Order: sequence, then C-alpha cells, then structure tokens
Amino acid sequence: MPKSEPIRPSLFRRAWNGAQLELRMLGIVVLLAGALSLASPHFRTSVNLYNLMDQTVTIGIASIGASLVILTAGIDLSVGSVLGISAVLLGISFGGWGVGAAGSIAVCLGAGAAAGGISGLLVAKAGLAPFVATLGMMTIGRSQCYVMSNAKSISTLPRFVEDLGNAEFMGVPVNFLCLIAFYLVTWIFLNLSKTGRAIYAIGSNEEAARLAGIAVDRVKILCYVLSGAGAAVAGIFLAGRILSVDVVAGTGMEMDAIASVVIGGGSLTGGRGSIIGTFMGVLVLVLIRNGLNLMKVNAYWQGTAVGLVIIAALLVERLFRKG
Amino acid sequence: MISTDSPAGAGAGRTPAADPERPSYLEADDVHKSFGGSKALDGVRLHLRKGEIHALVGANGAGKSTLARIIAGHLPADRAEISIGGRRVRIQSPRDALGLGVAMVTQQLSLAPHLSVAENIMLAELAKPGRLRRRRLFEMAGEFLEAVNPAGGIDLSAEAGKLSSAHRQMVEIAKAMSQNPQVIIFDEPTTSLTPFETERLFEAMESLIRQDKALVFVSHRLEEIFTICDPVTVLRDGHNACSSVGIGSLDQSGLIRLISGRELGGDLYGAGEAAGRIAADPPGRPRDGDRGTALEVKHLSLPPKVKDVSFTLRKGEILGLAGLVGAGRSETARAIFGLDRRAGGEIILGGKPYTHNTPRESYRLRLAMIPEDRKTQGAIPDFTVRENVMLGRSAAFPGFGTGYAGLLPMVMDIIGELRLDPRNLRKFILDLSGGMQQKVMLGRALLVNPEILILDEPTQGVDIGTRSDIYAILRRLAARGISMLFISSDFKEVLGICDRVVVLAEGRKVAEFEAAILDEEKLTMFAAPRTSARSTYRLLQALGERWPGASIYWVYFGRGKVYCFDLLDGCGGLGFGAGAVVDRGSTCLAALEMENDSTVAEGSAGGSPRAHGSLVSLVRPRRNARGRRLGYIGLTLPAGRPDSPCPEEFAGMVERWGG
Repeated sequence: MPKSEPIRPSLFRRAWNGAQLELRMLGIVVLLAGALSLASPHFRTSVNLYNLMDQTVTIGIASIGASLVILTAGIDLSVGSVLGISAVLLGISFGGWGVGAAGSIAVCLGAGAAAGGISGLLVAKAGLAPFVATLGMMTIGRSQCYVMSNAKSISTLPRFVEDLGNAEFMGVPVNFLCLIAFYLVTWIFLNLSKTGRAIYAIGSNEEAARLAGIAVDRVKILCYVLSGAGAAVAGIFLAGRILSVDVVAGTGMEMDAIASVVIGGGSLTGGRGSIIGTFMGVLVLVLIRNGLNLMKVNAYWQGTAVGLVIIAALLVERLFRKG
Repeated sequence: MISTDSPAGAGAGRTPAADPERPSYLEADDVHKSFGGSKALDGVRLHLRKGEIHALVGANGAGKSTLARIIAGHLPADRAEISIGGRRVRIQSPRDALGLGVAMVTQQLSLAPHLSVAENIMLAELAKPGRLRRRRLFEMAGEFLEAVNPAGGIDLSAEAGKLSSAHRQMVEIAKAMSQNPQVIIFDEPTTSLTPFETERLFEAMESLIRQDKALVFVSHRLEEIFTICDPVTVLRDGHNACSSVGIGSLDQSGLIRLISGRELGGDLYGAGEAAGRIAADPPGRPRDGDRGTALEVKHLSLPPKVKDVSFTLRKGEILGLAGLVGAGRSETARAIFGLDRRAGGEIILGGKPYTHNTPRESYRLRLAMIPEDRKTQGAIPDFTVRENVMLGRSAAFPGFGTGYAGLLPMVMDIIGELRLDPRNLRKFILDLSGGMQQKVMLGRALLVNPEILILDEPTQGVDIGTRSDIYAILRRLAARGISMLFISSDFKEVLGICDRVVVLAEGRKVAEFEAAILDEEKLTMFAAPRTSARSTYRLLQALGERWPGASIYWVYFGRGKVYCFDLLDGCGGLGFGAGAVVDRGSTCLAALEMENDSTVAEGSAGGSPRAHGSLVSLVRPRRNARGRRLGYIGLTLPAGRPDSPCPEEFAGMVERWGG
C-alpha cells in the first residue's frame, strides 16, 4: 500500500486559519478605538481608559458563563437576576447574618452556582427548553432581590470586596487584570481540557457526543453552574466598584452577555464560537457605549445605536461566512 | 434489473470465507423492538463469527438498521438475548457496546461538524477521565486514519464539517476503530461513495478481517454483497428471511426472492411493466415524440451544490434524477420548487419562464413537491392526517376560513386512490407507520391537482408492501398525464420506476438515458464524480501522450451497446461520445469479437487491432488491484498510420496503471 503523510499545514498556517474570526474582531475593535479617539479628544485620556477597563469587568465576567452555555446550544436568561440576587445575598449575609467576609463571599458564589445548577437540572434532566427554564429563573431571581433586600440598597460590604473594586496595579485596575485571568483560564479550559472539548462536541452534534459516551447531561449542568457562579463573581466586582448593592443590579445584563457572545462570532445553535471572540464582543459593546457617552449622544438613543451595531456585526459576519 | 456480469467479475476478488466450523462470537437472538404500535423487529437473530464480513440485508424498512443499532447500543431493545464470546451481556447504551468491543460506523450522522477531524476520531476519548493530551490525541487519530485511509489527503486539524462525504466516511471508520472493537457494524457505508472509494473501503474492511475482527455490512446493494460478504442474513418486515446463509448457495435472483418475498424484483416496480416496456417499444420510442414538454430546466445553477443542470420533463413521464449523495439532486429539486433561490439558469414551466420561484407560487402553478425528509420537512406532527393533507392546498389558495369542509369530498377521493383507510383521517399523523405517512404526503401533493410532481426519496423508511403500492400509484398518475421528477439514491428503484434517467455528478448533468438500457452497476459508474476517477483519467492522458492523434476511451459493453464513461477524442468518427450509450454495431467497435454480451473475447481483446472502416481499434480490460473488471480501455487510430500501436505495449500500459 502506498504510504503518505496526512496533510498537516504549518503551525502558523493553522493558527492563522483558526484565528480568522478573532483577527477580524480585533480589527473591528482597533478601528472602533481609532475612530473614537479621532471623534473625541476625551477618549484617549487616562481617566477614560481607566473607566473603560472598569466598565468591561462586570459584563466581561458575565459573558464567560453565557459563552459556555451558548456553546452547548443553550441560553441563560437568568444571568442578570442571578447577579442581582447573589450580590444582595453578599450584602445581607455580611451585614445581617454576620458570617464574615469569607463566609459572605461563599454564600454569594454558592447562591449563583445553585441557581445555575437548578437551571441546568431543568434543562438536562427534566428536558425543559433552556429559554423557558432560565426565563423562570430570571423572574424568580429578580423577585427575590426585592424580597430579601426589602427593596433597599445595601452598602455594608466586606472590606475585601471594596478593595477589589478600587485597587490598581501599575495603573491598571486590578479587577480588569482579574478579568484577563478569567478569560485565560476559560480559554485553557475550553481548548485544552477534555470537558472543554466535550462542550464543543455537545453543541456541534449532541447525539454524536452521547453516542461517543460523553456524559452530556453532566457537562451541560456544569455549564449552567459555571454561568450562575460567573454571574455571582460579576456581582461581587460590581458591588466593589460602586460600593453598594441595588435591587436592580444587573438588570438586562443577560442581554449584554448574549450580545457579546454573538458579536464575537458565537452561534446560538451551538458548537461555534470562541472565548476570545466573546472578549472582543465585550470590548465592542463597551467601546460603543463609551463613545456615545463621550459624544454626548442622548441616553435614550444609545440603545438604538447598540442594537444597530449588533445587527450590523451579525450581517457582516454572515457575509464573511458565506464568502 | 439484474446485472449478469458482476458476480463473475466479483469472483476473482472474493474474500475467503470464515471457517464455518468456528463458533459464533456474537449471538443476538429473539430481538424484539416496537416503535409506537408498529413492530420493527419481531424475534430476529444474527450470529457473527470472527473473521467474516456478514451481510445484513433487507429492503427499506425491513429492520436491518434497527437491528444494527440495537447491537451497537444506539437503541434499546424491547427484548433481546445477546451474548458475546459465550457470555450473556446487556447492551443498553453505546457506552456498554463500546465497552464490550462493539462499534458502529453510521451513515455520517455521528460527526461533530465544528470539531477537528482528530477530535472527532478520538471523541470517545473526551468521555474518559484524565487530562487531555492534545499531541497524543492527534498522533493516535493520525494512526487510526492512516490505517483506514492510506491514500491520505485528510487534514487532521480541519473542521469535520468541511470534508467531502467520502472523507467523512473514512473519518467515521477511523472513529469506530479508535475503540479497538472486535465487532464493527457498517451501516450502509457506500451510499455516498463512488465505486473507487467503495473499493478502498472494501480493502480497509478486508484488512480488518485479517486482524480477526467480525464485521457486519448493512446494505441493499446486491453487487457489493456478492463482492465482499459471506455469509448473509436477510430480514423481511421484521423477521428473519434467512440467517447466516453461505453466499455460495445464493445467486442474485435467490437473494432478491429472500429480500422481497416475491418471485422477481422487477415486479415491485409495476407488474413486469419495466420489462414489457422494453419489448413493446421499438427503438426511438415514438410515444415520447407526441408528448408535450411539461418542464424545461436550462443551465440551472445554485453554487456550491448545483453548477450546471439541464433537462426536459415530458408530459406523463417519470424522469429519474440519479446521483450519489451530494451530487446536487435535492438542491436541484429545491431550486425548481422555489425553496432556494437559484443563482442562474432558466426554468420553463408549461411553456412560460418561471422566474420568481416560491413554494406558494409553485403550488398555484400546479407543481408540487414531496420533500426528502418526511419527519422534518413533511409531516406537521401535531396535526391530524386530514389537516396534514389539506395543508398545501389551504396555504396556496387562501381565503377567509380554512375551507376544509368544501375540500372534504376531494380528500376522500384521494384517500381512496391512495388506499388509505378513511378512519385514519382523524388520527394524528405520527400514529401511522412510515409508509402510511408517506402516502399522506403524497395526498397533500395530489390535493393541489398537480401537473408536475417532484418526489425526493419518496420510499425512504417505507416498508416493502407500501412501496409497491406507491409505485403503482405513481404509474397510474403518469398514465393520467402527470409528470414526475423522481429522486432516489436507490439506483435499482430509479431504473425500475423511471422512463428516463438524468445523471448528476458534482452538480452537473453528466448523462441522460432511457432507463431501460442501463443497469445498476453502469448507472453507478456514470454517477461517479470525474474527480474520483482520477487514476483512469491519468491513464487516458498517458496513452494520449504516447499515441498523439488517437482516441482513448473508457467503456463498458452490454446489451449490444457501448457505454462510454470517459473519452479523449483525438481522431473523431468513433460513433460514440463521453457519457453516451449507443448500439455497438454503429460504432468503430463493431468488429470486436465478443465472448458474451459484456465480455470481449480474449483473442480480440489482447490480440491485433480490429479494423472498422478507416479506423483501427484495440481494447483491453481494465482491472483494479482486487482483480475486479472495471470496463475496458480502448484506443482508436486512423488506419495506415506508421506508428500503429503495438498490442503488447498498449496492454502493458493499461496493466501498469492498475486500479
């Protein structure tokens, strides 16, 4: 039999081919930043750049969980509410229950993970549509924010949380560095671990994954748990940044997270998307909001602008994929 | 429809049978399985020995895939006694089956399109505990792939969804091998392969039985079964028609009898009409002449699947659209019906250009289609049969209210025509068997009173009884003047039911014939994409360079005709062209001495050139590495040239280029 090596392009070629989407997104981010720095003299000021990084953190963390869930062809609408209820519990458990700083953070993370776990069980084991299961969780979560906090904002927070929100390292906010670290860890998880690849396999062809012996239900539940826990982490950083927890904290965050994933090339039918793409999506979203603020665009109009950008990004991506 | 020459051709490459004295390795007995109310399997058995390729055969809906999936754990059985290596086992999930060394190569549904080839091959690895070692995973995937696909050409890091269907099939096999199975079930692996790729698959399968694996080959292509399998188990309507019968004790008609439970396979397609047609119609078939044109398609294109398709559908004609999976058949149908917008070309319907194709408009113009996948494109699961039938009509002819009451008499007529029990009208469509559901789909199309009917795989998942009903209905419709475009991957069916066949390969029309002059094997050859016949093409080129000005061609013989698959025309005047079928008597090959209808006499094939008129011709059988004859390579030159070919040199070149 004639022997021949299977074709294996060079490492550079493979990396280049594999990163097309991310490179395109990076291009958009750079273009956007360039345009903004031309349009507004305030854009390049260090105060504004600091602000930008600060604003990226909450939505950035929430988008990680959203990415995982969307990769399995699911969706998590409860991110915003879970962020809210976790943050409320952080304040209440620290101020009211006296569980201490570490204890309150554990309560907060636990609440987020539990909420995600319930959504995951409903999706994977009870067979509910992800949209419905997490819609229920979203409504319950927001209602509990009001119930538990009596609709009052809470400003008794652990010192650690407050420091986290305001510390900086070499002029860069520490929470932004944490965000970068989270994204790195997630990238490694998704690309270099068996579970990470199983997430892609499930979203790409769930039946095939099941037939190959992958524990589909368990992996799916894990994704929802991580999404809930991620929302709680986002809640901690948000509380630290604004030094209080409001009952409406995180409202609409789920839509920002989903938008980031989608702008970053993720497919709502699963299996397609990358965590770096999501990060670029977050940057696009934050840059647009920031730019509109700097250019003093009426706040009521900002939603329209953001919506148009989301639609435009998807249309452009569709063209690229066809061509 | 029975090809006479293939068992003879296959004999040379026949795989040695496993030792019949050997005890069975896997025994599945008394397997029962029901779907809803209908029994798919009713106490069937399958016994496998190591070192054999066991054919599991049956018509569509006979239960062969169900049995295969139960053994591989993809479906739970209602009841089954399965033992492996003498030990009773329970197989409840694919995981159980893989643990027991049973793997299945499915019909390409089991790849994750967004993952790399390597990850797909090693997918089961992702389910095991431990760290992911990417480099190791790629190395192992490469080894498994190399073993089944020594020809290479598949990039391990490519996305699986972007591979050609043949390559995907190879990845599927490598994936099954990654679990080191003892039993490997191939579920209709050849439906998307060209004859050349099929040969490569067979080589891979033979190397597996040399490693003492037990293989199951599920197929409905008899030629393939006679080529590579021994023994045979036949299922018919959920029962064993036979179990582990040696292939040597069967011939084609015997096997057809076992599969269909009837005397002759031809009967299935319309009570001997296929055979009668040939005898009754003189050459030229004048009855075609006075038929008008129902539909004309000119240079239709819809990249990437459809590139250049032209044909004419006459009134009252059943025209087959044949091709391998991925040849662009369904896409052509979808573009005509208006499901997808075509990129180029013209469609002329009833004499007028049809420009803005939409399904709605098509219904108004009385062009109806029965889509490929009944489950996802046809039946509305939560509707009753009645409402499912009425759907097409009410969508295309809107008005206030549903108009159901007024339609009812017409529906009753159609139900009668389809021989459906009127009591079924109030049932939900999913409560009916696959065959009955397909009749309901046919009813929906008939309710718009169509002049043209496009049928995409209309007998998929339909039991054999209902199939022959459907064929009879189609024949009656054709007799009433309804034209049909009939798409199927079952070439036997295409040849049995259709008047003419248009063959597509890689999105282009490559040939067009009267169905009566072709058999399944030759149709398969015509349907093979040119890219897959590259070695033959290179041989023709090499011969062309050696003898400039000569015509070099690749042909088959049979039924007194020449079937030309490929041609480099250097001198002209051959009397045939590429993709053509013509009477041998009218070509330059008329003087060949034939041993029988399909075989050139040894003396003539290897001997001196035969002269015919002003041309001299020389032909030589082309065989692949397994000794199977793949037609003839021929060379024709004007007589009296100084460099007239030396038969030995020509023969040597043809031999050297092997299969």
